[in-house]
Amino acid sequence: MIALGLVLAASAAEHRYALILGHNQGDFDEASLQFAQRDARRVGEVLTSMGGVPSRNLILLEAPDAGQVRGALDRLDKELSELPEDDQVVVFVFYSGHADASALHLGGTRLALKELEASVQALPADARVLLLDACRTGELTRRKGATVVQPFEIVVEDPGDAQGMAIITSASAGEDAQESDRLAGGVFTHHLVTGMRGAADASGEGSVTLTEAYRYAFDRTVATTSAAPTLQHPSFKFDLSGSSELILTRTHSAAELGRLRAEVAGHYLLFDQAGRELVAEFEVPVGGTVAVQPGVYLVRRRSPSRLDEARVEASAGQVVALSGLKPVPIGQATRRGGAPDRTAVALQLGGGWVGPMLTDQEAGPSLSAGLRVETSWLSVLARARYQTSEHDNAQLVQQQTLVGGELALVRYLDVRSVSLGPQLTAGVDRVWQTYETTGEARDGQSWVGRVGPAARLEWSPLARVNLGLEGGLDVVLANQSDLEDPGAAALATSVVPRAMVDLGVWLR
Amino acid sequence: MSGSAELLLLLVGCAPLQDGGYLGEPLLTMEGEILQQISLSELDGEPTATVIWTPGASRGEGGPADEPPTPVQHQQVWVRTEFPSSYQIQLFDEPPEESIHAALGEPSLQVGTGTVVLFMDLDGDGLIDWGDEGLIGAAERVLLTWSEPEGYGLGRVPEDCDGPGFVRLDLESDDVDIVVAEDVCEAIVDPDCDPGSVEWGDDCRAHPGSHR
Repeated sequence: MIALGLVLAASAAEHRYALILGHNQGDFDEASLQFAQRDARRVGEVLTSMGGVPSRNLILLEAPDAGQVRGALDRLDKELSELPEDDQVVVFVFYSGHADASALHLGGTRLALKELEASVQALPADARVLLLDACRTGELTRRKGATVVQPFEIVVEDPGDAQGMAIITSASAGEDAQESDRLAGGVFTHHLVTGMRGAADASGEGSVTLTEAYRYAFDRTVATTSAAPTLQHPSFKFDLSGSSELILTRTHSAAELGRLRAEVAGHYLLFDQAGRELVAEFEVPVGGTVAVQPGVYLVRRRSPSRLDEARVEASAGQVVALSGLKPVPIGQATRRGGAPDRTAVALQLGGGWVGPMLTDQEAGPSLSAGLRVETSWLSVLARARYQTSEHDNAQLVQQQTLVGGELALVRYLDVRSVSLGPQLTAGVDRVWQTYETTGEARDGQSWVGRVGPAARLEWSPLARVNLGLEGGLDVVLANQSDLEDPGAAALATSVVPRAMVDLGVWLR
Repeated sequence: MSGSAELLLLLVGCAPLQDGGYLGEPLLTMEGEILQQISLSELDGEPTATVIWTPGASRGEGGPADEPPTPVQHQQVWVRTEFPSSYQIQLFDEPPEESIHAALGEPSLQVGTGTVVLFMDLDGDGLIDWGDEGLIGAAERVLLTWSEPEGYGLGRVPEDCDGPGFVRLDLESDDVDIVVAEDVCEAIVDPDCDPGSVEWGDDCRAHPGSHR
């Protein structure tokens, strides 16, 4: 077993420092990362707000070259060496950006991993934590003859001051570290920061240890990347001489932060007020808390069968219960990407009125039934339609029946519980005409094609139910008798208005 | 429509659709020229072709009626009048019920007789408002007949009624010209040469102001 040799601050003063590095650009032939520098800022922010690192002790370098990193390490070394020897010193070094198995890639310059490890190891500190969110940096944690395994229980063997260094990498040797557009950040760093905010506080003591943070980030990173083309396994190496756990962050003592407490265990997603930027994603038990900056957040709780959400306001020093989350209509949840499944299917039944297809005809009622498939980008509805109408011109009575099918595409815009959007419909119908007359009349039947725009408005009184109102115009192409030459026929076009209401039930 | 489109429609089993103005398949189609012998420039209204039938009330057991009977206009008529050159008429049902009567000498045979006329339509409704509107032209000595079960027939009556008799016309090919003339009523008076019965009476109701 391995004991984590990092000591908590005891009676001596504790000083915490952090060197945070982020670079979106690696070598010149490497594609730019999108979120590396943002991730660095996020780690710096959580360390200063909850990790006990004073702002003056934070060195944040965005897009540095290798020389600037060396210079920062030298300055840090000098500052730490001026601290009283009896004081406890903890140093965090974090890097997010491009790398390979041997070096960090810093905007066309390189810093060897071994040099970085040696530099951090040489810092005059009691505890050093090196965190790397970069590809293939797992080489640093690889041991000969050892294999990467999941984190296991940490046992405190010998409490007391100790010295040591912990290295945590976002990926194992040979693996890529991935960014996620959905998380708006590196997968590992996102979960690490979320864990440090309190989601990893498995003991519920209001603090997050290094082990807890790593365990949480490991589990969530593997889970998140399980849906990606490649898996990503964070790794660690602890060189230490036994002690108790190192506390990374404290959620209770961060008076300037607000805390959100889960009343229901589950998988939570925390968005900014507008619902656009994902701030955190975490799994917590009942009573689990996460510390956040004061403000208004959109909270979603995702379960296998539903998505619930509510807006909550976090106030400094206050604990707010995550309660009163209301079910999100399944259609909206699917479009937002927060639903359990990427697609949803609904049964739609409707009825309405269709305008006259030919001259001197009357509008008539119609019925429709179909299936709807909802994706994050488009709603596709395939439905069958039945319509009947009667036209009386004093000489005869014409009965017209229509049976057809159509495909409708809708692009929805969601506004609270209402959704609306433009629709394009195309369909084919079979039309029959029969007559009642004292004279003679020839029955007709023909295929009819139609296409046209529509607008659709939808309201969801329940998560699994939607009520829709639809109106549009169809351009209809029909085989119509030529009045000038009754024995002949011509393809005639007409514009037919239609309106309908429908009821949908989400099947999954 | 192109030949390929016709073939495609045939292959998919289509019979053309009809709009709401469809009256059915015509039971009778007549067409012909309009021959104008007098000027109508001083008359108001729109020259419109139609079919009128001998009213059945004029046929009693024998003998004249007390008053001139009113011809019965055929209601469901599709008409295209291109005055002053041509016209086309289609009938979609049987003659009006009030014009159908038992044939002379054959009480069990139901018949109707009528002719094609031209009238001035003042109000554009296609209906002859007798008194305000009247006839300005007619198909000379042409008799339109109907009997059950044979249906419609067309024939021409000899000019002096002494000729060989009623000459059948071909419904498919023979045109029936309308003559706009001063004495419109003479063209249709006593068309079947049976002076013993009155069909129109003394007043065949020419258009007011037109020449008689």
